[in-house]
Amino acid sequence: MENAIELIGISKRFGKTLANDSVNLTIHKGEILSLLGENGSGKTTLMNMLCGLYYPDSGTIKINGKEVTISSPKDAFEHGIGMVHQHFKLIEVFSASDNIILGLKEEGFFVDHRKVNREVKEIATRYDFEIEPKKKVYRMSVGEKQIVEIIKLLYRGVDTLILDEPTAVLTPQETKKLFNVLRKMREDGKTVIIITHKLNEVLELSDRVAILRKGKVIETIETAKANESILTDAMVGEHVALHIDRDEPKKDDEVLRVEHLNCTSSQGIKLIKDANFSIYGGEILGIAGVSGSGQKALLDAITGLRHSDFGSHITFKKVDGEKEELVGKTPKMIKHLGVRLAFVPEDRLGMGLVGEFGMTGNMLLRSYEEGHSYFLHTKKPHALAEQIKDQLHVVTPSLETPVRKLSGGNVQKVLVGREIASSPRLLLTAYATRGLDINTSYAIYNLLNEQKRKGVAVVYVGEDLDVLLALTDRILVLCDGQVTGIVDSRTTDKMTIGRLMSNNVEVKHD
Amino acid sequence: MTNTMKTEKVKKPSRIRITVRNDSTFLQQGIARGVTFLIAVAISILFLWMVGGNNPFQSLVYIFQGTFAPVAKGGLSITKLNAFFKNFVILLGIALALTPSYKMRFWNIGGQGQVLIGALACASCMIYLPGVFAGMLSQDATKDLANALIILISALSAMVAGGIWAYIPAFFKATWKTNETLFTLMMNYIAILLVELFTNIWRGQKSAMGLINQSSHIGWFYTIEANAGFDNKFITSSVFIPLILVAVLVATTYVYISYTKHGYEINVVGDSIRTAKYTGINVRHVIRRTVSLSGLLCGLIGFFIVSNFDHTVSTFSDLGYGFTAVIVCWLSNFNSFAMVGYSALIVFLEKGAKNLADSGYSANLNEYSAQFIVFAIILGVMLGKFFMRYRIHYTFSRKHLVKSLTSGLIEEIEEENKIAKEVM
Repeated sequence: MENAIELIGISKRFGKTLANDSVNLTIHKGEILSLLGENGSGKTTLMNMLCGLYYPDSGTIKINGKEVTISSPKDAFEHGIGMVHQHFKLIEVFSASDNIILGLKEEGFFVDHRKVNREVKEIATRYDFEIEPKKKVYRMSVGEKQIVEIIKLLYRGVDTLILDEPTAVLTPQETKKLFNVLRKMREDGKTVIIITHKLNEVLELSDRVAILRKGKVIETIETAKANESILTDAMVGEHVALHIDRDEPKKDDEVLRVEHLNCTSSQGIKLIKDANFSIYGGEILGIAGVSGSGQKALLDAITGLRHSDFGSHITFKKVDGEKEELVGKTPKMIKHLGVRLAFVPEDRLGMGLVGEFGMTGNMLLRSYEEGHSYFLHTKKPHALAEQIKDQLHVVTPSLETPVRKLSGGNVQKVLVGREIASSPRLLLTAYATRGLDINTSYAIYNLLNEQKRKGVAVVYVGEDLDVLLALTDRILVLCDGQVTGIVDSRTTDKMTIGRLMSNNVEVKHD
Repeated sequence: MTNTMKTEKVKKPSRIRITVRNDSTFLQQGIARGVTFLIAVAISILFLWMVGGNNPFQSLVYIFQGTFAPVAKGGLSITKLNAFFKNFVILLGIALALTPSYKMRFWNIGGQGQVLIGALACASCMIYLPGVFAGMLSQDATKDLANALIILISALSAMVAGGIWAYIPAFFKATWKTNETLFTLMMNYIAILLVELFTNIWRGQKSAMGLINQSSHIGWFYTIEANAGFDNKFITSSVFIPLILVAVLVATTYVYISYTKHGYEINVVGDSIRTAKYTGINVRHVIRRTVSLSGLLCGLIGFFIVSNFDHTVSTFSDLGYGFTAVIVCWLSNFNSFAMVGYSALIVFLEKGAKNLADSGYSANLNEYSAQFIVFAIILGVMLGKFFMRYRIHYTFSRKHLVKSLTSGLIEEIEEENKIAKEVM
C-alpha cells in the first residue's frame, strides 16, 4: 500500500515534559487510522505537528515520499493535510459557506456566493452530508458545526483529514452519520486519522490503530486482528510500581454521601448521570476517567459551583454528626455552613489563586472577610504564608512576589498549603500533580497522606493510573458522566480500570 | 472545486522575536526609561527645527513657558500656573476616579459622560435652587447658610448623577455581560447631547450661556479669602482647595485599592472571575458597586468644574480629559502616585504646545504641529515601558535562530505547555 505520510523520529518537548519521543508512524493512502492513547500520551501534540500548529524539535515528515517542512496550518493545507480540532474554530456570526471560504485567497474582489454554495452542495452530496450553506453557525448544533469544519477541509482539497476526538461531543445518531461519511471518504481515496480513546469506535471504524503511551508509539495493529482487551493492555501498559506510603484506611466515618446526583450542562447535555457513592474520613478516594468524563462537573457540584438537577442529594456530615445538604447552595453559603470543605481545583491560577497577588494576598482569599473592620487584616495571613513557605519549601523571592511568577510546583504548594491550613474535613483535589516534577509530586502525595492520617476524607482526581493505584484506597471510575465502578485500589489492576474507563454505555447495553 | 496545492515552499521562522523580561533590575529599568525619554525629546527638537525652521531650543523655551512663564517684575506668572493646576486637578481627578474600575478590568471609557452629567446636575442646581431657597438668601448671598446648602446639594446631585451614569452600564455588564467599553462610550454621547439640550434651553435668546449667577455668585464654590495681612495669590486662587482635595484622593485611592476589603475584592474580580466566585465574592455586586464609585467620583469632578472653575457648563467642560485620563491610568499602571507625575507631564506638554502656537514664534508651528511634541513624548514614555518589560531578540544567522528556538526561552515554553495541556 502506498504511504501518504511518514513521520520519522519526531520529538517535541514542552519545558520538562517530553510530549513526543522519537515517534515513527506511517500512514497509508486511503485508510482510516486511529490514534489511541490515554490523556497526555501525546496524540494531539503529534497531530498538531502534522497540521502546522507546532514545529517538531527533531525528526522529519515525509509526504508522498518527499521530505517537507510544515510550519503553519497554511503549509499543511498546501500539502493536503487538514485537522478538525476538538474545539471548533468557526466564526459564529458567519454562515456555513462563509466559514468554508474563510481565508482562501480567490481571484477577484467579490465573493461568488452562488458558486461557493453550489460547490459546497456538491461536496455534501458526494459524501452524504446534510448541510445548509446559508445557515449561520450560531444556529447550528454541535454535529452540524463539525460538518462545516470537515467540508471546510474538503473544499480546500485536503486529502488527509485529522479528527481530534470527533465523537466526544456528538449524540449516538450523529456519531453513526459521521462514521458513514468517513467511510465514504475512504472509498473516495481520502486518508482519515482519528484521535480517540473510545475502544469500540476504534474497532468499528478504523483499518489500523496506532497506540501511543507516554509520548511513544507503542504498537500499530490492524484492527481486524485486535480486540478490546488487546487494545486496553497496550494502552495502559505495564504496571509501574511507585513507592508511595499507604496506610490502611479507617472506614467508619462517612463524611460525604452523594445520592442520585445528576448534572446537566446549559446546552442540555448530561454531565453526571445518577451518581451514588460515599467518601469516608481517613481514606483517599481516587477518581479516574478519560478527560471530560464528568470529573469537573462532579467536583463543581460538590463545591457549589454548579447546579445539580432536581432530586440530587449531597449530604455532608460535620464533626458533631450534624448533616448538611449541599445541593442548591452557593460556594459562599457552603463556606458559612462551617462544613470545612477544601478544594484544590484543576485551574490553579484561574480558580484557586489570584496570580497578581503574592502569597500573603492569596492566603487572604479564604479569610479576607473576617472581622468587622473595613480594612484588611494581613497579620495572620502573612504568618500563614511564612509558615507554608517554610514547611513546604516554597521557592519565592518574597511573600509579596506575584504567584503567577512562580513555577508550577511552587504555585501548587501555595494552593495546597492554604487549603490544608483551613483544617478541612473533606479535601477535594483535581489533577493535583499535573505538570509537576517527581519531587514536588511526591511532596504533594505526602501531604495528602498526612491529611488522610488525620482523618480527613481526601478525593484525588487523577489521570495517571499508576499513581491512582499506589496512592488511593478506592478508585471511582467515571465514563461519560456515569460511575462505571468503584474498585479497591489494593486488589485491582490497570486493565480493569482501563476497561471501566472506556466502557461505553451504549456498548454495555448492547 | 478549488485545489490550493502548490509547489513546495520551505517556511522559515521570523528573525525578530520578543520575549518577556522578568529579571530587569531597577537600574536597567531606569536606563530604559531615561534613554527612550531623551530620544523622544531629541526627536521633538528635530521636528521643531525641521518644521519651525527657527532655533528649536527657543521653541522648547516657549513650551516650558506654557506653564512657567516669567513676569516682568520677577517670579512666575500666577495666571499661567493656576491654569496649569486647573487642568492638572481635573485630569488627575478623573484618572483617580477611573482607577477602581480599571483595577477590576472594567474598561470604563465613559469618564467624559460621567463628568459631564455631574457638571450638568451641578449647573441645574445652581440655576434652580436659588429660586427654591429665595426666602433664605440675603443681599450678600455667598455668606448665607442657604448658599452652603445649595453648594452641598449641587455636589451631592453631581455625584449621584455621575454614579447613575456609571451604574447603568455596570448593571448591564453584571446582569447580561454586555460590553462595557461600547456601552460607556455611548453613554458619553447621551450626556453630551443632554448638556447641549440644556445649555440651549438656559441660554434662551442669548448667544452664549454665560456664567451662572454671575452677579450673586450663588452656588460658586469657596476660595480662601484674601485680606489685608494675607494675600498669597496661589492660596486664594480657585485651584488651591481642589489641589488639596485631589491630593487626599491620591492617598485614599491608594489605600482603598491596597488595604481595604473592597479593594481586595476588586483585585480578585479583576484577576479571575472564577476565583472570585469560588471564594464567595458576589461578583455582580462588586462590579456594580465599584463602577458606580468611579462614576460618583467623576460626578464630583464635574461639580468642581462647574461650581469652582468655570461657573458654567458646556460640552467641553471636561476639557476632553475623560479620554486623556484613560492614558494616564494605563501609563501609571493604575498606581495613583504615578498618576500625579503623568498627569502633570501631559498637562505641561499641552500647555506648552498651546503656548508655542500662540507665541507666533514660527508661522509653521500651529497648535496641531505643536501637539506632535505631546505625542512624541508620550510615545517615548510608552516605549520606555515596553523595553522595560520585553526583550527583543534579533538573529542574524538562521543557525542561531534554531538554537534560540530550542534553548530555554522559558516563558514561551511554559505558555506552549499550558496550551498543550489544554489540547491533550
